[in-house]
Amino acid sequence: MPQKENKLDNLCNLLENIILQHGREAPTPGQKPAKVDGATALPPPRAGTQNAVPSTSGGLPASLHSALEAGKDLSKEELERERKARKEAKKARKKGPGKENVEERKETQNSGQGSAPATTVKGSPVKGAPTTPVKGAPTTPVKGAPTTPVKGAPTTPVKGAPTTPVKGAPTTPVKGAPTTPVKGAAAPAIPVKGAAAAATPVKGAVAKPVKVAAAKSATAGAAVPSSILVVDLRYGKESSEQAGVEVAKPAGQDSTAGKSKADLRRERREKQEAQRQAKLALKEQQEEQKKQKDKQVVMEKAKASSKAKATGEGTRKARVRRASSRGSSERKVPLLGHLPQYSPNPPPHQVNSDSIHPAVLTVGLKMKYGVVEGATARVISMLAALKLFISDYRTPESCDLSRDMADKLKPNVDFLHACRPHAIAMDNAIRSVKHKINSIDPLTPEAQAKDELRGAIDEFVGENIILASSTIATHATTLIHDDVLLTFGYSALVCDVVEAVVKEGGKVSVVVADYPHPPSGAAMVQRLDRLGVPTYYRLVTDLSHIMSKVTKVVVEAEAVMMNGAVQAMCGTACLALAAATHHKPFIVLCQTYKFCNIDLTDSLVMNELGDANSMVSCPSQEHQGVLADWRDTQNLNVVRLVYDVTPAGLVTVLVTEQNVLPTSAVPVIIHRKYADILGQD
Amino acid sequence: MRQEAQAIVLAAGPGMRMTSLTSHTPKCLLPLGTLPMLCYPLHLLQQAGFSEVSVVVSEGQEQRVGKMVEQYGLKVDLDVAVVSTAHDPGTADSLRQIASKIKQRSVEEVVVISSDLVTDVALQDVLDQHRSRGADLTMLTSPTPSLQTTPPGPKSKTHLNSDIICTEAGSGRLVYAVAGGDYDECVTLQSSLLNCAAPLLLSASTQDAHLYVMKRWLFDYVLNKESPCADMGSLKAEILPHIVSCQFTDHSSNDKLGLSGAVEREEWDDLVKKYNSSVVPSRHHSLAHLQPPVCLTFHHPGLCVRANTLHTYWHLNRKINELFNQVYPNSEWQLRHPTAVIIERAQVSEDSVVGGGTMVCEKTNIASSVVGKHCRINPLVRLSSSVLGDHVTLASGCVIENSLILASVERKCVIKNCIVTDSNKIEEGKTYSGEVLEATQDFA
Repeated sequence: MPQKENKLDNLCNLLENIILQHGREAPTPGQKPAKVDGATALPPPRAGTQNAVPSTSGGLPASLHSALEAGKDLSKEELERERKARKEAKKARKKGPGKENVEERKETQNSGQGSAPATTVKGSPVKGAPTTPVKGAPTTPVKGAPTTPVKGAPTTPVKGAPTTPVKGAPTTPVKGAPTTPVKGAAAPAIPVKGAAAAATPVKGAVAKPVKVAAAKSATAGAAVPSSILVVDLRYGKESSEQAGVEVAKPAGQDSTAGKSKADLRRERREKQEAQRQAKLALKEQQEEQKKQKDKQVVMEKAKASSKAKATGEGTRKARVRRASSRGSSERKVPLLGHLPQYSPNPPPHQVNSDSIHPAVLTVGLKMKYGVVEGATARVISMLAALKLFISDYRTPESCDLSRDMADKLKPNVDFLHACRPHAIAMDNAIRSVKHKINSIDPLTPEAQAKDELRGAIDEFVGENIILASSTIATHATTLIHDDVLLTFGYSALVCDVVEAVVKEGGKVSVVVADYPHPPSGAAMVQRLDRLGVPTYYRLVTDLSHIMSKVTKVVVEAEAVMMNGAVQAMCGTACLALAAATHHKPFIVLCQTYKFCNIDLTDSLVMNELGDANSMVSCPSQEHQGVLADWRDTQNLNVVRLVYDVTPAGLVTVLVTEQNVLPTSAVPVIIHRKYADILGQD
Repeated sequence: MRQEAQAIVLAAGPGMRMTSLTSHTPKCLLPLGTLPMLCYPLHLLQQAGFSEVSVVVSEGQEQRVGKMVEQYGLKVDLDVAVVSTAHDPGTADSLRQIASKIKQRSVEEVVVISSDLVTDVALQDVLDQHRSRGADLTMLTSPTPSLQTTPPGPKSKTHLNSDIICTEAGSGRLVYAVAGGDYDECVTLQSSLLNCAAPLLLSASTQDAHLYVMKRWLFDYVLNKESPCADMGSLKAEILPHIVSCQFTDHSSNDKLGLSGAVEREEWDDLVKKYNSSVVPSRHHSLAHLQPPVCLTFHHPGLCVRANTLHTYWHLNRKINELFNQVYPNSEWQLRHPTAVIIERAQVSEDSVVGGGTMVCEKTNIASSVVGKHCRINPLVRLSSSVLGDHVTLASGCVIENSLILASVERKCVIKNCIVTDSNKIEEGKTYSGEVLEATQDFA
């Protein structure tokens, strides 16, 4: 399977890139910048245990038993060794992709984290991974040999997140989601065994090594880290490509034999570093306690009604309290800390605020509460609100319209973003509006300028949405005639296509695959039913069964990336996977205004966190509350991602209003369409 | 700049259900835990961020109401409008009175609130729901409060019917409403209501809290001289049921007098609806066939009481100490006003409220009571479970239980379960029980 290997190689390269990028991110405050040499890896405080610095090809020395000798800083020897190791790793990558996969992870741990787990990290491999009980490393303190036998039988391509249980009594559970971005699918917890060290829970997250280190220091000693991570990715993306990848054990070649001075020195340094971190953690803990105390004090103050206070002050306090209580329900999930956290409440806002237009406020709340969903609907309602904003806008005496309006627009856009992170299409629409505002001649009278702007928005909606949709429907009729279509959830665009095909005399029937959180496909079924199209309503879990009977898969994209990857509602990618396995064409419908000049290879870098509570609610009365208090369960994380990403390779054809295109044509369209705007970026 | 919402407090009500109290104090200024009743809705609005509030009061009260804001440390600007009491005005008349003022402003929503509402609801949440669900009218509902206390005065069995409210399960859409006083034994539901797909919840234990959020166009329509609402007197009892019923009448064929002419449609509404993949039931749902006006309820299970009868008024007064702690913890409304002088040897229980400028002398005992502002409680007074108005002097030796005292009391009286509004009625050393001691109109 040379092809597959090739792909894998590509993925690995990407992975490396991503890791490098993340590694470069600013270190968290209070944390030393991560060093790229494994030399800085630390043992846990007072560990006296082995520090597994895993290496694939035996290059990296495992850290050794503790402090004996003093010495200088990094010796040349070490640097040399490091370099060698990397070289070898590169070689290894070329040889066996699977192997390198693991190694990659190790490397990041070495490099980015700055603090290697005091244990062997066993990364359960890719998606298919059956829950692999991990028996980690040797417990002997001196040996650092990180034998991580990974039994990752790569079997079925589609599998949810496997959770691996933590084993062993004195375990230092490493909480982490080793799901490297490329891996997408599962986020298996890595149970780590070893070292009866003081609890040094390491949150090993490959995606954000630096942050992780910070997290570690925060939890060190105190909290038990979570070891279960439930990810509702509804299948991540490229899982299929990883199928058949064997994740080789990292060669746990121990280098204990050659306990060099440099090694010892390093060991010592590590120890020091660990102590420093422990101190830091303690400090942070204290601070947290202090904060909590403060909170209590505030509450008590609030209760104590015996003191006279100015009303103004009082009300302000009440507001602050309300605001703070809103934020408290958040809990950051490892790996996904970079995404805006979901909050059940809208951002704090005041009645009759000057900066936010009421129409924008309304639209923001509608998006927040999921009353308006879907990129197209959100764009339209947002533009309608912006039109009202423009109509009500008055230019102050001393200012240019274009400049002042852009300033006034900003808090409105920010509010929308605070309510719910913008869809990519919304960003594009906002950018086009801003572009229009900026390009207005300062000499134009206000009324005329406003007319122009409103006209431009009308034009945007007319061209990019109304006209484009009907053109896409026409284009699609050339691809679809007598077919059994499979689609996912609710999509007005797919409905339009079906309608157009029916009008042309095609005999289509549609299978609507749906996901119960939320069941948007039900509305789709009703609309199709009104068209008189034979319709089947299935859950997405039936895919493998449905797929053999389907002739084409048609879905609507939320956004299409520069590299041809398709961002769509979570669940779409698994349709693509199934279609690829069954050799069914996978047709993506997308208006070109949803194109985006970002390369995206996985669904973790850019995504949105949805309401995880909706996942754990169970319709059965008996089990309704089983997971209701998941936030209080230390070892459990519930994640709901809104979008997933289908790699370009799985998309057969892209239907846009411009033409029927392969995904490789996306950059051309982006450059042509956004030439003016891209130039400004 | 377009404003988001305009708040209107209807404070011109005569207090028909508590005439024994309102004969010489307007209802909106009746003391509720040492504060005039009107303070509570104003505080609610202030908490939500309103800086300007329109208040409709009856003739002659505008001065007192205008001063009130400073007096009680509220931070809102009052815009006081006056309605004449000559023709027994209803709430709708009050609204019409103020409509001309509102007309000039460009606001999206109008919040109409009654002056007697005491609630711990966050108005912001009501507004948020109103806007996010695209409602044209949102009504605050709450469970009818259960009142354990027995009010003073002669025992009366004037039990009023409760409101009947019918909502659609799930969406909280208001499909039928009738006010408590407007039916005798049976109510008639139109069969067309049953066409609502969802199950309907019909409840007599839910009350309409008289807090409405209305879209501007609906407000204008209601006050329009040409609309069918033009002759209606009461917002709650007449206009509201009319609006609710409009949801189900087919007004596509109607002329300009109907709602269809007044409805303000949002741009691209249909387009949004078409592309919307939401599953939340709302006007914007892709399959929704709701037609304006869309009426919703916001159900607030917490504290929500209207002090519009003697019973609820009494109940609120007795509970006000809890309220101060829970609902207004940060306001300067407190159980013991700093300017109150309480002699050390006086016994004042924890759950009592003492207003500013009050003097409590030694050897007194005050338990579970509300003492208004600038009262003087002389030695040897025993006061339990009672409510005192402002500027009341209790002469020494009085024993007062479970009574509402709005006037000074002579020496050594024993008063139980009474309402006292006129000091001339009380003679020294007498015992009263279960009476209303009010001034009678002397035509001589």
